Amino acid sequence: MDTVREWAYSVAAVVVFGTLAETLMPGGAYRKYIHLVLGLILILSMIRPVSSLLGGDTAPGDVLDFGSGYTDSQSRTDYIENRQREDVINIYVRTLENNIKSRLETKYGLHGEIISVDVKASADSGGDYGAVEEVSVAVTEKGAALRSEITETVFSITEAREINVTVD
Amino acid sequence: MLGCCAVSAEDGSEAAGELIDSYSELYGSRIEDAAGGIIESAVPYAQGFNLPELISRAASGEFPLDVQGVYRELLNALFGKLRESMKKMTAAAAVVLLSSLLTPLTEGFAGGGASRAARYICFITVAGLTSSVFYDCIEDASGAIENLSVFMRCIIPVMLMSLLASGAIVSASALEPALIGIIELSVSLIKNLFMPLAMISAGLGIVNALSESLKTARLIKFINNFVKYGLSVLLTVFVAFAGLRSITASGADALTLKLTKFASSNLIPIVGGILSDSVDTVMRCSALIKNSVGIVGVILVFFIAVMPVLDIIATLTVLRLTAAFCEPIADKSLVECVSAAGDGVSMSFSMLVAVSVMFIMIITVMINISV
Repeated sequence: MDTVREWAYSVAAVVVFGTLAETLMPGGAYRKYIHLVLGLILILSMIRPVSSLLGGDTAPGDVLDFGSGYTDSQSRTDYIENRQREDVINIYVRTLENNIKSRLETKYGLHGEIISVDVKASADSGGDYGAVEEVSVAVTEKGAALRSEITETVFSITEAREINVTVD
Repeated sequence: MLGCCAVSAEDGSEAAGELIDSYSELYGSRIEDAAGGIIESAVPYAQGFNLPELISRAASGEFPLDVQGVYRELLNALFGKLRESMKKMTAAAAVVLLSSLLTPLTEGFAGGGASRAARYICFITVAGLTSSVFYDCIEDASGAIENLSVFMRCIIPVMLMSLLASGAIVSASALEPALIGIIELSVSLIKNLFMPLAMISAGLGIVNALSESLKTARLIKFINNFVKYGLSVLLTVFVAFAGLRSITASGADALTLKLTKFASSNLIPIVGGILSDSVDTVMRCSALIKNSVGIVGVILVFFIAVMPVLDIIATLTVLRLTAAFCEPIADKSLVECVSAAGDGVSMSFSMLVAVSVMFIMIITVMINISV
């Protein structure tokens, strides 16, 4: 772009110089010849970049300057995948806990006797994703009497590897 | 069986609300970290902007701005800039009027030499004043284009991340190199080729008005046409490219998402349905957030571009009015000089609007990609 800018300055300079010269030059027969010469100088200054392009002095591709691209798309993909995997597991675990609790309360009439349900699920990206590893149910003493029934019901829902029913 | 139970409405909305807040915070803070400086410097009333909150409000269906307040601010800004431009051009208009008085008065002295000298002095004064006004506009336009370009470099990765999160994996991968390439090419062409050519054209126009015999009017017209048609071709190619890329990739995304849901629903016994619904909840919230990030992005592009656009509109209006009011009495060369500066400002306005429209179009294309 410096080339184009310099060319524009030279054309403008020729016009300004030419105008001054026309103002200062005397009248008479020489006027039209001076005007012709000034016009030729202006033409030469205008066609200068064309001749340098055709002569191979300037590479047209150099006129443009491309900025740098972005990087790091793989780490962005990995970050989002990991984060979403965790988000899905969090919602899944929370939903499962609420469903187990309401199921136990409804089936065995244990309203207010189930203190908490904690579910641990696998967050591995392999085939075990979402598999329930451990379920811990905290119950009151009344609930403890139905320990085996609670364990059986939780297993039928989740097929968890480990089920703990504790009295709190 | 519990396996058939869907996520309860209460659980779902609470989980969705938390997800939306969490991702709004993630994307909003990323945009603020990368482009906070530009937003604060380019948007005068951005000091109170809280991007995570804006994204969250957009996701909940609330338009994140006070429209009346913004409209009032913009109108005040426009009239403020009109007043500023008028002050600058009043001096030029005064010199033009003075010239129109001086020229007939001095015609008889020194064989017309005094008249010509007075004419050139007035011309140089007016050319200097209009050049400074024109140069300020070009600086504003150039600065705004640079700010928009940097802002897009900050928001595109965030939008691609939100696109990935919404399940449009194939689209995000396909769009990234294409978008980067086309944005960089467009900004480079406009900043490094069209903008300097507009400056050169205006400069030559001013100089062209000086001389009665040495004219470069057709060269100026050639440069103007080159810029005009170049910009049109660039916009056309841009729209076609961005639109086609988004269409070709979105079909594959739908298939990928269906396979994921099928796998989680059918391969895990009993609770697979809950897992599938959880995946669905996360995907839908992500799609909502993606749209909200896009809406906030469009709003920010608008705000970054609007002040320089108003400045240029005010300057252009004043330049045209000055040329129109002075034409009946002023020397033709002075009116041509002011008019040439107006043409240059008009071209810089076209370029700034073209860049803003292109970037808003990109963000809109990304909002419209759905699985």
